[in-house]
Amino acid sequence: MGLSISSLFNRLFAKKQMRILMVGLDAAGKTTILYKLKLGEIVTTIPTIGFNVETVEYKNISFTVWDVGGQDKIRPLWRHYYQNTQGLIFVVDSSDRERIQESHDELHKMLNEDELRDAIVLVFANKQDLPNALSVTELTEKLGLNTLRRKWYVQAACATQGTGLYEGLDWLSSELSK
Amino acid sequence: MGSVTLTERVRILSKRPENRTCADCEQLGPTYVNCTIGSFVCTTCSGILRGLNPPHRIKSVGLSKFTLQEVEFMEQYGNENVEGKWMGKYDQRCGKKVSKDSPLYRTYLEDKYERKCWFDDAFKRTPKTEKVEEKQRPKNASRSNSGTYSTYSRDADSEIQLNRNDLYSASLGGDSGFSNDDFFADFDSVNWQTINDKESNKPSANCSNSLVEPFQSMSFSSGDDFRASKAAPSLPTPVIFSQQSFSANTMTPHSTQPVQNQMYSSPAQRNPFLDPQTTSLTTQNQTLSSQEIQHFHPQNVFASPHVQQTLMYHNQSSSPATSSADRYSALADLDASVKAEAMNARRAKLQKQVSVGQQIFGAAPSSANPFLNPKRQSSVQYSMPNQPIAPSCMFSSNPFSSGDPTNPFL
Repeated sequence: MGLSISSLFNRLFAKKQMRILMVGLDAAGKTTILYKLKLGEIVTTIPTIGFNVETVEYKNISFTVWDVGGQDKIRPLWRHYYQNTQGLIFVVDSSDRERIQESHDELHKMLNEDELRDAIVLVFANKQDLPNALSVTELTEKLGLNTLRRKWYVQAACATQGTGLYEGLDWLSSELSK
Repeated sequence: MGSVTLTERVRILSKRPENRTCADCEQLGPTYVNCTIGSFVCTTCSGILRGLNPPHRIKSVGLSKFTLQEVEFMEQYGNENVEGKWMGKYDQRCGKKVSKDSPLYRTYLEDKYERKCWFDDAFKRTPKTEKVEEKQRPKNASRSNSGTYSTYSRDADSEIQLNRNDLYSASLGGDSGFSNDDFFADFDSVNWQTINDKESNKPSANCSNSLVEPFQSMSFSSGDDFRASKAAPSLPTPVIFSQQSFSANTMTPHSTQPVQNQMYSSPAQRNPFLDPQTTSLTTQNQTLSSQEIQHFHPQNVFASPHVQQTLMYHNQSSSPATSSADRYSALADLDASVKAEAMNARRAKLQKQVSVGQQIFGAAPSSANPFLNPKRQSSVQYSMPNQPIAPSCMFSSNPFSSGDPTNPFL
C-alpha cells in the first residue's frame, strides 16, 4: 500500500531528470551559459579543459548539464559523454563566421554517432549581441540543420544578457514531456 | 605533418625569453596564445580576453591546432612587440599596471584592448636584437617591486652618482652608515630621466579613469608619509633643496616620481600619477611661494613637523638673499666648501641635459655656477631603492632631525 502511494506520488510530483550534453567550438560560450543558468549571473570563465557539470532545475525538470571543453584537441573526448544523453545542446558563436563551417563539421560528425541517435538537438545561436552576428536563419542554413533526421531547434541567445537561454530549456522540456 | 610542426613552432615560440611571461599580467609560463594580437597569455587573462568586445581569439598552446598564418603571425609579433604596440603610450607614472587580483583588472584589459588607451599607432616591429635593448627600460621599471625608476639610468649617470655621493657624505659628516651609491643612483636616475620624459609627453592623456581611481585615495599626501629635510640651502651658492620621503609604517623605500609645478598649485586636482607605492620626486622650475606650498596637499602632509620644517627652509631659500644666520649656517659652510668641487664636475654633466635641467637650475649653462641664481631652486624628494634599513641610519645621522623629539626613527 505504502509502496504504491509512494510510486504514485513520485509519478505525479517527482522531478524529471534529463541528461544534457553541451558542446561546441572553443569560446562559443558553453561555460558562460551553464553558469548563467545555474547561478543567474555572468562569471568570467577560463577555457575549459575537461568538463563542468551542474544540475539546473527548471519547470520541475532537473537538467544535468555536462559542459565539455571545446578546444580542437580535446574534441575527441566528447564521445565519452554521449552515453545516455537525451539532449544535445550545441553552442555556436554566431559572430564567428570564419569557423561556422568547422561547427558544421563537428556537429554532423557527432550526430553520426550511434550513441546519440535518440538525442534531440538544441542549437544556441549565441553572442547575438555582437555586431555581424549570423541570424538564426543563416545559421540554420550554414549548419545544414535541415538535413538532419531528428528533432532540432535553433534558439537565438546571448549568454551575457541571459536572453534566449530559458526559451531553449522550454523547448527541451516540452520535447521531454512528449 | 603540418599541424604537428606548426604546434611545435608555437611551443618553441612560447619558450622565447620575451614570451615566458603573460603579456598582460606577467605571470610565468603562459599557456595560451592570443591569435588576435599575437601575444602569449596565461589562463586567467585568456579567459578575460576572449570575453572582450570584440573577442580575442584565444588558443591553447597544447590543446589547439594552428594554421600556418597564425604561426607566422605569432612569429612576427610575440609579447615584446605586443607590449610596444598596445602599451606604447602607457606612462609608468600612471602607477603600476593593475594587478590581476584587482577587481579592476578586467577594466584595465578593456582599457588596453577595447578602448586602446595606450595603443601606439606608430609602433613598428623591430628586429629582435634591437628590441631587447629598447624594451628593457620600461619593462624593468614596471616590474621592479617597489616600482622604482632606479633602473633607468643607474649606469649612464654613474659619474654624477659619484659626485653626489661625495657631496652627500660630506654634508652628513662623511659617515652615514649606508651605501650612498644606491641613494644617489636613484636620485640621479629619476631626476633627469623622468623630467625629460615629462616634458616630452603629456601623461595625463594616458591615464584612464579606471586606473586613476584606486590610487587617488592613497596618494602621497597620506598621513603616514614621513618627510624630513636633508640638504640645507647653503650660503649664497647652492640652493639645492631636497627632501626624503619615507613611509613611516613600513620603512620600505619607494620609487620616485616627478610632479610638475602645476600639481602643487591646484590642491583639488587629484594627481593620477602618484602611485601609492612611490614617493614623489618633485622638481620645481620656479621659486615656490609659501602660498603655493601651502596649497600643496593641505590635508595631512604638514602635520608632520618635518614637513613644516621643510616649509621653513623653503621660505628661507625662496627669498633672494638667503638668510644664513640660522643654526644651519655652520653646516652650510661645510657643505658649500665640499660641494664646490663636486659641483664643478657636475656642472659639465648637467649642461648636457636638455632645457629642463637648465630650467631647474636656472642660470644659463655658460655661467660659472648654475646654482648661483637664487631665484631658482629645485626641490627634490627622493628615496632609496632596496635599502629597507637605510632610512633609519640616515635619519639618525641627519643633522636636521636630530633635535626633533617626534622623529619615530630616532
